[in-house]
Amino acid sequence: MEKIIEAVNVSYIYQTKYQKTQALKEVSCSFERGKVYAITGKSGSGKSTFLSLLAGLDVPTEGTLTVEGEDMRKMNRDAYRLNRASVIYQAFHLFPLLTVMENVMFPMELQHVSAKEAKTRAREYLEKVGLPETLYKKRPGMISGGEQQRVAIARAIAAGGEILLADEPTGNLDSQNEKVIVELLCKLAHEDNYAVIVVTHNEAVAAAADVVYGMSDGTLSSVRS
Amino acid sequence: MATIKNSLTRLVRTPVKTALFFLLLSFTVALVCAGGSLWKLCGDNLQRFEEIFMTIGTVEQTPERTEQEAVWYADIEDYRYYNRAVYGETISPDVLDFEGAGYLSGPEQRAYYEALPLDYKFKDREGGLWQFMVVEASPMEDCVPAGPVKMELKNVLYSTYPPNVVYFYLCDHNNDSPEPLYADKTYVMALQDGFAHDWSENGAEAKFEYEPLEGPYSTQADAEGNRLPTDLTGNWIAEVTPGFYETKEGQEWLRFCEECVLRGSKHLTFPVTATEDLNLVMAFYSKQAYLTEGELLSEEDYQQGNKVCLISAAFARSNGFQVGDSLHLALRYANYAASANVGGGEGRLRADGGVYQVFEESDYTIKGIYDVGVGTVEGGWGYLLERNEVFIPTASIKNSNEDNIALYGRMKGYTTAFRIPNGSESIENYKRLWEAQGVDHVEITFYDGGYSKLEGGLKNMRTMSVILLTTGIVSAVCIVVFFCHLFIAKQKKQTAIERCLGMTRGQCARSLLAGVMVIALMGSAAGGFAGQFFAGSAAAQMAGVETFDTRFSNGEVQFNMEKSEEEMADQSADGSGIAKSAYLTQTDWRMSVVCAGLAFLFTMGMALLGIYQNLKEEPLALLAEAEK
Repeated sequence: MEKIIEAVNVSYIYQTKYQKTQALKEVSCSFERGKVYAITGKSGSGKSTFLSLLAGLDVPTEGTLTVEGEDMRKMNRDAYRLNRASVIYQAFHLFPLLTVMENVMFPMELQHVSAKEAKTRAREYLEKVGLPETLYKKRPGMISGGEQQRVAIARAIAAGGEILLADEPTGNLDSQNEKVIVELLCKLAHEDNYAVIVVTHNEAVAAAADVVYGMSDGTLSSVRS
Repeated sequence: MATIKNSLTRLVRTPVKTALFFLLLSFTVALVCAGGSLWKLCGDNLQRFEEIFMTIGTVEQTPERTEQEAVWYADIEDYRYYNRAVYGETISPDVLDFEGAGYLSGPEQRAYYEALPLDYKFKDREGGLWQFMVVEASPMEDCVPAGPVKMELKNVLYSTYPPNVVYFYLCDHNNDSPEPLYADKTYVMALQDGFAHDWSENGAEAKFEYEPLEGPYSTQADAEGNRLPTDLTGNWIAEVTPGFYETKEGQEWLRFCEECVLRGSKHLTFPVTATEDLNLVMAFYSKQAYLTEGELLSEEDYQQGNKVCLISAAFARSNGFQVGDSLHLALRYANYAASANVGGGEGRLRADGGVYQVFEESDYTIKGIYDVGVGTVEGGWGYLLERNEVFIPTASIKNSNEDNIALYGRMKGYTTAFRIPNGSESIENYKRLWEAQGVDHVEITFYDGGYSKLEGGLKNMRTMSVILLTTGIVSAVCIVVFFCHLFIAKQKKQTAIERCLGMTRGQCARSLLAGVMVIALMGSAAGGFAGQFFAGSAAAQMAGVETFDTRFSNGEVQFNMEKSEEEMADQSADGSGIAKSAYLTQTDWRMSVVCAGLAFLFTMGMALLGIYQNLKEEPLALLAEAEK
């Protein structure tokens, strides 16, 4: 398996007006396609920050983060997020005023896919995540949390990228929905060759992962394959 | 396009917020536009009226007291009693020269000059039937002319019209103790045709009579207005003895006749009024006199003393004069005591017994021809113009008139005036300063054509418009800031998600801006229209309410000269309503466009500021903040 993302001595400092907080200290690890990675750790261990850096939401303060050998600092991170890496959040982060269908079509529209094509593909992705058609025209606020997370996954894969990043994707779900979502993520990695990286402190989610990175105080403390 | 479409979709799906923003923005923009338009309209109107209206003050020396005067009437053989005003010493117009008066023109005590008629025609003059003659006559029998006594006409020394009589009746009508006349003697006298005072008794058989009018006397004054001493006899009736015309008194009567011939009696007067500003002449100020051809005298004419003049249409008609023609003026003497229309009062001879000679003679170019409208001028007939009156700039008289002042008198409303800036403030200021001078028995009357009232109304309206404008601006700022906060700052989470999904900063900015821009555009446009409509209605109402007597403003002449007959019919008899016509009621739509445009730009500016604040952070920090 080829590495798609590699982190070498990645450090990150949150800097506010009044203080500096070192969130990551010299984290080094790599990620491959077709696998599910779980990053675990206590709250404040830096796992969500690491995921955000992997999503290209910011660049490391020190160290390098490369995507297929290309330094994240030098690449167009907007294009990276649009075309290659998608993030799924615990709070779903769907657009509340757009319908389910429109939410899924959104990244495709940014990629200038025609409306008709985007609609067809959105329907496919929504079917793939198992969302019934009756919900397509509903707004996120009118469907359940599990259904919203499925919409979020459909939107993430609609961009057609190869890296799927999930931050506590089952945090707001019941056990039944949690299981469905974990299975869905695993399926995307194993069948569709996504590199799925999940930040979680849920044991069940971690158990389903191919590789588990443990983080503590901003450093990578353990690796389990 | 996708980002803008989604932005608009969101807008449509938050109808309450969108509608509220739209309505509030429209309302405040309407306030701003209405306020701005009205403010500009008031300013334009004030400026317009400043140009149209003018404020003058006329000055009159008032009597110190009145006293009863007894006048003898031969027809009733008794006195009639009248209250006569008694004036103190003549007050010089110099008292009007004080610090801070702020004159725009004047003050001037105008003189009118008698000019030699030359060969000019005055055939359509008024009062032409009046007869004045200087004759030698003898009574048919010894008599006292306390009533009509029959006289035989011996010799006519001067007459406005040939008397065509041999006998006539003489009555020294207002003389309670006339000297006796003897049948064997001849007398010289200046007579005017009088009335048959026995008309009530004898009807058609009544004796048409003549009465003595004046004798050789002088009222000549020096440059300071002091009457020059004279030893003229001043008798109204003098006995003609052999060699009489070689005597001093006889010479006086000959000079008297010479003067009569020169001026062609009062009715052939050719009065020339010199002024520093035609607006100080009430007939022009009130627009009873108005220009029919050519131009009025200009500021430059007054300043430079250009040899230009304004003549009456009657005079122009009689002599076939046109604008641009040359008029030869030969000025003989000045009368400071009366207007040309009142005229007279001056003695016919100089203090030394001589005849007034021409002291200023030159050709003037006719710059304009004026006519006199129907109606009256406030103040009486002294304010009316003489039919053949010519106006020239005071400074065009190059030679001093100090030796040719036939009569000097107190300041009168129709001889003395000044012009000050418009506005009640200006008038009040003048009055305050004048009071401080402590000059008694001088009355100043101001005429502003209703400007003060108009100004007050407009200033109130302008204050209202400023309140509207300020309220509108403050409200607009609050509303724009509030809604930009709602539409942009509060959309941090949405922006964070968009950024996480790969939208560039530019796309996010467009997404945020599109919605605000649409509402701002619609709100500004709707507000602009509403404001313009409101301002237009308010302006129309303002003009409907404010009607003024503008007889004393330039508005009337513009009205008269520019309006059609139908429009003229709308003019009320007392002259009110003219200001309404002069009112600018058309609000300037450009002002609304500017106000609405500024409101739109301000909204966009605030939106861009909010967007900049939103987007300056990296998506990670933005997301963290949004989640917080």
